[in-house]
Amino acid sequence: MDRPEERLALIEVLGRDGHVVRTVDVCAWPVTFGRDLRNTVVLDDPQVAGFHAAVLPTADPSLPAPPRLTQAHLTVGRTRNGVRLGRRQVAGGDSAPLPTGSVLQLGSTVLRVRLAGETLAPEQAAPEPPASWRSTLPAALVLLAGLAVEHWLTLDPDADLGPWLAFLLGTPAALVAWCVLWALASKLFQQRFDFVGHLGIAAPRFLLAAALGWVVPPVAAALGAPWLAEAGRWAAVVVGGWTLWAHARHVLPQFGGRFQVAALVLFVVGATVFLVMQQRRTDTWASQRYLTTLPWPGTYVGSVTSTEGFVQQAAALRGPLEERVRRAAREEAQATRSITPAAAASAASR
Amino acid sequence: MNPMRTFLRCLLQRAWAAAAVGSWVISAGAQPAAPRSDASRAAAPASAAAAGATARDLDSRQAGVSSTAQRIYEQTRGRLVQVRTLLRTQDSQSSVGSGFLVSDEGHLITNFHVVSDYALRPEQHRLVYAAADGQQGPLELLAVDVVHDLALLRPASRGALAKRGAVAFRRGSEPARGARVLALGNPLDVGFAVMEGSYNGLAERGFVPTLFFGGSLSAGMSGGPAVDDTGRLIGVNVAARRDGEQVSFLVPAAHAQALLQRARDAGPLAVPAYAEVTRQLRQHQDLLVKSFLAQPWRAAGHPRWRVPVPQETYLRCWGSGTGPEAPGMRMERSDCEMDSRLFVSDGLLTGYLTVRHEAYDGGPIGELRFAQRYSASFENEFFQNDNRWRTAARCTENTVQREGLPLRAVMCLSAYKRLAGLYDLSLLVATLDGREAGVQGRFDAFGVSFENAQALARHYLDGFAWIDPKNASR
Repeated sequence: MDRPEERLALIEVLGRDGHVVRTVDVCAWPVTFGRDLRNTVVLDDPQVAGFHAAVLPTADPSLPAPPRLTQAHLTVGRTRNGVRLGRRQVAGGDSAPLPTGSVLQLGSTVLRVRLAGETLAPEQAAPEPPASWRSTLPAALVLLAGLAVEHWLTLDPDADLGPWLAFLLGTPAALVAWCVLWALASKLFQQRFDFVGHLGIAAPRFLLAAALGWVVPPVAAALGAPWLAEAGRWAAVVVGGWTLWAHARHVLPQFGGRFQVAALVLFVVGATVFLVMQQRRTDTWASQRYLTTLPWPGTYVGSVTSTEGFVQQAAALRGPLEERVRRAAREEAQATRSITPAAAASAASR
Repeated sequence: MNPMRTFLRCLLQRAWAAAAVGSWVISAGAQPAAPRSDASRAAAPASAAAAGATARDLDSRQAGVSSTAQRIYEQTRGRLVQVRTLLRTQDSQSSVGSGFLVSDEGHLITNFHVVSDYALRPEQHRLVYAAADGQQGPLELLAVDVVHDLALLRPASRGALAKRGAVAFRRGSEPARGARVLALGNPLDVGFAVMEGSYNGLAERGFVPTLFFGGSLSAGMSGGPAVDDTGRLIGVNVAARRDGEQVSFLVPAAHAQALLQRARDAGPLAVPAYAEVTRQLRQHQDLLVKSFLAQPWRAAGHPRWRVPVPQETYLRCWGSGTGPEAPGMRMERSDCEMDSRLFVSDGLLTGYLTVRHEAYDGGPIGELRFAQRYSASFENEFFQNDNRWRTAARCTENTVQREGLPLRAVMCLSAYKRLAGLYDLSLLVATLDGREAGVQGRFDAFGVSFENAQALARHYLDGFAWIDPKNASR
């Protein structure tokens, strides 16, 4: 626009991802919306009426328009679909106040109305600069090296190239595939194929999760601390969830907060379901019944006992087992009471 | 360690409602050696004349064999019944076996496993008999002997089977090896039949004594009588090995007689028999554990560690291993299991012990790889999850010093939900002193009291030690 001082308002047509795809300057009131070509904003949308809606400076057209509006007025014309104003539906023939920044939906078209008198939000910090290969490659290489060592441990000394092929081809390919999928999501929502950025997210986090699996079990074994091994397993799960959240936030940064909440809720729900099912099956909250990693000779600093001490230590199992048996008896008695009337009715009907 | 092989005792074929005689099936890896074939070639006739004479001998022997069977069948037929367990709400049977009269009043003997559904859930089942002459009627359960797999029954209508006579108990000495034995019953619900076989004495390594019957026992013959050629009871059909041919087992008649004497005047059991079954199992496990603890461990033959291996009094041990030429980590394994197990119900066999160990030599692969695989083997163990019979296993663990030898020990116990005071013990042990070698052992006891579980754990741990402390790592 050549003379922005004459701009009374700005209509922003928003795209699918919330970005502005088109703007319409408002130099005179009212601003009308509809399919008819005589509207200020023509919307080529079959779910929009010919004269679908209008934005006016005041509710009373006889009143003069304030010089710098902070709130306008929406009037909906003769339309079967109405206008969605925020979370509210305004039916045909109705009207509603329209604060600056309001988002309207007419048919499938989403508009935002900005008024001249609006107070601008403070400038936001710019997003992090795109990751570079130099910053992401080291983590990826360390991760692959660590996994290679882990794979080497499972092979016999005289293993030939055969057992290595699956690892050499499969593991990097899996990492690349993971990052490509997320990069495609970035392409979809941000119009850029940010493979390096997603590699920069995945590689250090996968490395952290793998490192937890390499370091924590031997330390837990040396300390004789099953709780530490369990904590390490859960920490790896948390790192996995953190990775997913980081990827999602990188794809849609404007929803970072919602993804955080969603990730937290998913983690809590998932963990609860897992723990409950685990407890029903194994009568324990831990994912493993005992410390499965054995300590290296000479590294063990945990508790030590005698044969008799260990046998007496096992006496502590008796109480919980007996309680579980009592609970099973109560459950069976309850089940029998509920089945018996039904069975009696069934037998009586024969 | 690899998952423990399981013995499956398939006693009743639910699939087509025919009772099965108990059978043991041993999974691959523990098969007894196949019989040699050269013995049969040596027995072939040398000439045509000899062949003709041999054929005449066979004819006369077959006539004697079949006439005895005919006579015994006719003599015993009126005292045979089929025992059927039916659901109360419908007429379909959940199990079927055989039984026979042991008194003039109409007392019947069968196997416990034939009537276990009724014994443990009488509110859902009922017992009926079907005699060879077509007479049928309801039955009452008077007593059970879980350890010997026997049950004493009586017709609900007093006198229904009276005056038919009884199968007499054999008195005096036991038959000679090879003596003729005739087993009767109703195989596969096809009809009453007689099977001929031979008497082979007590089955070896059985903690609960059973007789080895060289003949075929099919499903449905459970609980039927096995008699000598005068019709006197030698044993009660109970089980067969499906991994062999004509390898079957009988409960010695003395136990059936004892059950009759104990309970012939008892009233019918109307409540679930869990309390009585539990009492008998507790008695059995006390004897078993006491006997087992009295036996010293055998040497496993390892140069560095003393590893507990049981005497083969009533356990059989099988060994396997990788040869010295095999690549990678070398391993030798020993599996010792009891053959005899006590049947309580489908899905519950108890009253037995297993002991196994694996000795690893990681010299060819180095310390790092050995450590990884040794731990992986220690992790690869299954413990009981919660099911309708047992609670989930609860475990305790620690490092145990056995005369200076460090052992990692994990002891898990699961309790029987309906057999109060009985537990399954699993004890996992691994030596911790070797950088490139180690031994992992596992001891399992099924259906023992808590105190006996502790005693067995103590006994097993005490079986580990260094053989030569000078060679051991500290």
